[in-house]
Amino acid sequence: MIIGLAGGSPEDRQAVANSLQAIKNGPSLWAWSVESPLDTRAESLMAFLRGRRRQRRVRGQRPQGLLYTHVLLETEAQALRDAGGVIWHVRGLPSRMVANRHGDLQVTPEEDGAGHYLGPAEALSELLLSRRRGGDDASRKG
Amino acid sequence: MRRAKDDPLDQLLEQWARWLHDDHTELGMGCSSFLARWMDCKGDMVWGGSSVVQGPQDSIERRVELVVYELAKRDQLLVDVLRLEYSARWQEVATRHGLKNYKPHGKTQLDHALALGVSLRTYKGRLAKARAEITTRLGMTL
Repeated sequence: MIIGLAGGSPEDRQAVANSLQAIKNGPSLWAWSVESPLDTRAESLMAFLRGRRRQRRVRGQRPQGLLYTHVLLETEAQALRDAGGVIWHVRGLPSRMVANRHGDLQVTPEEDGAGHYLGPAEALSELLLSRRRGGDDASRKG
Repeated sequence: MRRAKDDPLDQLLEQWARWLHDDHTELGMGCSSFLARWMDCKGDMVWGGSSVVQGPQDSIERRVELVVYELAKRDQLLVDVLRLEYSARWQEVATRHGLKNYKPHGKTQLDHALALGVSLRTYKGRLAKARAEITTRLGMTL
């Protein structure tokens, strides 16, 4: 499971990440983002996704997913999508670099969401359901 | 939507859940048989005409259960959400949805939503609707 957070402020992206990590009975998610400058961010991310550093442990356990907290570039978003991840757009100033594509979720740090913006746990439920449906489809085809 | 200890409706619904549980254990009959009788007479059960019904004939808990039964005719999901949320005769819900070894105790709304195969937002929306319906139909002032 890979979730990338784009748009909004860095503080709001971090707040969404914190809420996702704090969900009771939720999946263990490792929050991380490359800290490289803009011109090498995507490359660093792709190297990470290709490498074995995804095996890092959270609270002594292997994480069930990566929470990429700061998607600043479309190339980063594409790298995450190519790795099977999803992009969520945080309420606030939309990213000028990351496209809001069909199927992307709109999220807010507020627990119960706000209008069409989903709260972190609400968005996670959408993702888990879609993954389950995807699994069901795959098993039917298989 | 969070539960509040000082919320009168929450208190009533928790009381209702306990009543259902006690009804099962104290009267020495299966809840399912009670429900089956109820369904057999399409909701027009004569409360005083059988040995099944004991205690106050028009208790508030019984009135809640009648409302819930009526709601189930229109929207089963509404009632399934309510029963899981308050652990009120949740076994029926687990059976209907094929949930093996599912117990609502210690579970979150996200867990319940995923168990029912709906998003958390849908779950919370149905819960709010069920609560509003009960409030209205019982003429409660909250």
